[in-house]
Amino acid sequence: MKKIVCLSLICIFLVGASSVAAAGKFSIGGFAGLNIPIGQEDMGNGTLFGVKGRVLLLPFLGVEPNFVFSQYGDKEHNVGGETMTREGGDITSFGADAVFGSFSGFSQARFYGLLGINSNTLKREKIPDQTRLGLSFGAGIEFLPTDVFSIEVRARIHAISLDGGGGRDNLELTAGLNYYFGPE
Amino acid sequence: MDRKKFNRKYLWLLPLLFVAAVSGCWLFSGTWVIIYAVDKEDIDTSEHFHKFTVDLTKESVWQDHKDDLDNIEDVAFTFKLINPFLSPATGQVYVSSDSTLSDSAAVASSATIILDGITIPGGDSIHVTMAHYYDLLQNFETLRGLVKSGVFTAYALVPAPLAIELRNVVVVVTFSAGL
Repeated sequence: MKKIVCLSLICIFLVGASSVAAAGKFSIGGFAGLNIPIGQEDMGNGTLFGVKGRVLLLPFLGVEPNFVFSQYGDKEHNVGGETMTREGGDITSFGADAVFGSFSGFSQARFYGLLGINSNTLKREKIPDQTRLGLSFGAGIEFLPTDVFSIEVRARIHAISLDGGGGRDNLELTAGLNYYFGPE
Repeated sequence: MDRKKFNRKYLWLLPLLFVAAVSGCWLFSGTWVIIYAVDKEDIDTSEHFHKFTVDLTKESVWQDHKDDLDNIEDVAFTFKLINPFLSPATGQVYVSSDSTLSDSAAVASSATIILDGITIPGGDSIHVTMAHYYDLLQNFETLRGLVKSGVFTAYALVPAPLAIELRNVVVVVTFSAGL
């Protein structure tokens, strides 16, 4: 499974990279925000930050290779009348999202959806690390006050499979900045 | 409705359908925590040998999700140990699916050790908290497998002729299951 994920990511990246010249427009950017575990009683809310590129392949389609570091918040449990804290752990993720929306022209606001695949390394104190497949989907809005800078906010569901079954689902709420290169 | 408009209108559904199809059940998965307090009366004690059985199947949260149980994510034991002797004692905790082991030799030969090197100073007590527990934990994968069955027995030992008192035992189990 790990090989399939890696090969898929490489293919997506190569397709994206080879299309830069043809598409003529790409961006790099950074983002940060909240990582909110969904339906996970053993984790608290944490933070995340990451970097990504965006290669516009078509007027309505782009590819975003990305690297994200997320943390879960610690969780307090009432154990026999005493409060004990369990460390939340963290996720290091790299992957690619396909973004689809209207990317032609420099309209003031662009709405888009996204769908991605990623490889995730989950670490938690005293538990063996595991590297697992993840999928993501969500939506965002990007504002372009100038021709080259953009500000965006997005909500992304990041679902990660776990070794032995089950998964961890997270809601990622982020804001970021992008810088665009290339001709229109 | 013309064909072009129809396609665009429902295009946004395709990614969601793709994600749901590829991910299977783990996209709709959650984790739950059971804090299982072991009653003092349920601890079978004979000075240097203590055992208790954890039966998660009686817990309502377990019952609610047992049919969709995916995995045991985490297991922690917390407890207090009291050493009435003047000399220090070193304790161990084992787990097994067999609840009939009746002496230290049988436990050491057929159960799985999960905590070793618990030192209780002479005439003193220690509280093994979650933080302390993880420092001592070993054979985590075997422990997870045992807990997944829902019922297992833990054995706490100190070398004879030393004796300890075992109190305030709580087992914290985190499991994942489909929503």
